[in-house]
Amino acid sequence: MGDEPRDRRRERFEQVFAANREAVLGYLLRRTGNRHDAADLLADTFLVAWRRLDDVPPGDQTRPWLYGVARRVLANHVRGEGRRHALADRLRNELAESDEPPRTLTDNSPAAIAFRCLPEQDRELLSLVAWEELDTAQIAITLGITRNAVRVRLHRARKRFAKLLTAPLANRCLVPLKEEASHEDA
Amino acid sequence: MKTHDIDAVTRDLNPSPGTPVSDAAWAELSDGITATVEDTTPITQLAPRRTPARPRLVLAAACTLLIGGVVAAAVVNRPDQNQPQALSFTERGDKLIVRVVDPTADPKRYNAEFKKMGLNIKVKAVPVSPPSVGGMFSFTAANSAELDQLRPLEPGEKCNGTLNASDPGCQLGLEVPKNYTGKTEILFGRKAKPGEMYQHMSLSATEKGEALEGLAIANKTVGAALPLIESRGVKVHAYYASSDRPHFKDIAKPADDWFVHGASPFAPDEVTLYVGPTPDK
Repeated sequence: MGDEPRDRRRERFEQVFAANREAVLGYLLRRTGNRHDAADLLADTFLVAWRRLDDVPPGDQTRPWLYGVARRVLANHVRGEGRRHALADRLRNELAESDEPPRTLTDNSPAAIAFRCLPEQDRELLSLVAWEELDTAQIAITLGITRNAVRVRLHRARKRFAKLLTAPLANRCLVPLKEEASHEDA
Repeated sequence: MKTHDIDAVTRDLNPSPGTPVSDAAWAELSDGITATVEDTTPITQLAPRRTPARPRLVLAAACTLLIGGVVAAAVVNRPDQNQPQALSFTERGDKLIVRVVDPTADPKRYNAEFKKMGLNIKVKAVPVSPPSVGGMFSFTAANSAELDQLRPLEPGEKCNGTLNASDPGCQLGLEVPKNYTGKTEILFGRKAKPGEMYQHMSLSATEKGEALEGLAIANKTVGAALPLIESRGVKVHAYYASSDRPHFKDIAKPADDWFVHGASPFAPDEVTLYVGPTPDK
C-alpha cells in the first residue's frame, strides 16, 4: 500500500469490486451451491484483493486473478476453514432470501453425470471456459500455470468429456488417461 | 464432437442463474472491506501467502473399467503371499500385485490393509447398480506421474501360481510399484440404499443384473411398457425425450402412445425412461 493515499486506494478497490463482484459471486455460487457460504467466500476473496491491491493486475487480467483467489478461498473452505464475516451479513441475508433454489450439478441428465465423472481439473477448466467465459491467457492466470499447459489440458478435458458424452444413454465414468505423460509445461 | 459443441454442453450445465443483490448489500460489503486496514482485525489465514502462486496441482483422474461381475468371497491360503482377509499383496519384481479377495468387504478394511503395506491408497465406496457392486472403476491421484504408476488388472492377469480368471483370488486387481509414494483414491462400487442415485451403472436397465433384466420394452408404447416395468416393482424416476440428446431434461409423463427407446438404471428399483413419439430406429 506504500504511500498511496488511502482515498486513491479505496477508489481503485471500489472500481475493481464494482466491475467484478457479480462475476466472482457467480463463480462461487456455481461451485458451492450454498448461498450462505458464497457470501462469506465473496467477502474472503475481496478482503484478499483489498490487502493485495498492488498485486491485482489491470485490465482483462483482473477478473481471472480474482477467480484464482476465489479458487483458493474455496479450497480453504472445503478443508473446513470457513469463517463468517459480519460485513457480509446483508449480502448473506439477501442471497438466502432468494427464491431460486440453489442448484448444483446433482441432476441426473447424462451430460451432468458425464461431467461429474470428469476429474476435478477437467471440470474446472471446462467451467472456466463455458461458465466464466475466460480465454486461454486468462485461465493461465486463474490457475497459475502456463498458457501452453492450459491448451494441452483443455484439449484433453474436452476429449474426455466428449468421450463420456457419446456413450449411449448412460455414462460409466471411464476416462483413460494414457496420453497424460507429455510435457505440457514445455 | 466439436470443441464448440462440448463447450455448449458445459454451458448448459451451468448450475447458477444470476442472483440479484441490492446496491445496499454491495455497499456494506465494500465499505466493510475497505475499513479493515486501520482496523487491524486479523485476517490471518488469507494474508498474502508465502507459498508459490502456482496452486497445487489437483488432478483427479479416472481409469478404465476392466472388471465386471461380482466375485464370491474366498480366501485362498498360499504360502508365497501375505494374505490378509480383504486384499492380497504379492511382490513381483519391483511391483506389488494387489488383489481384492473379498469384494464384499467394508472399504475400511482395504484402507487398513493398504496402510499396513505402507501405501497411501484409500478406497471410497460409492453407490452403484447391482452388476457393478464390488467393482473398482475409478482411480484418482495427485498428478499424472503418480497415476501412470498404477495399473488396474483384468481378472486372470498376473495371477499367482496356477490361478486364472475363474479363480476368486484373481479378479479385481491393481499393480503398483513397491515404493509407490503417491496418494490415491479408488472408487469402489457398493450397494445403493433405497432412493440413492447410482454413480455408476450399466448402459441399460435391461442388462443382466439390473432391475429390468431381460425385459423387452424397447419400442413398446409407454402404455404397454409401464405395466411390465411396474410388475418388476420398478418405478420410473423420470422421462427423457430422446430428441433432447445429448442434454436431457426431465419431461412430463408422455402420452401412452409414445414409444420407449430405452431405460437407464437410476437408483434401486428406479429407472429413467428414454421416450419419443415414434419408434426408435
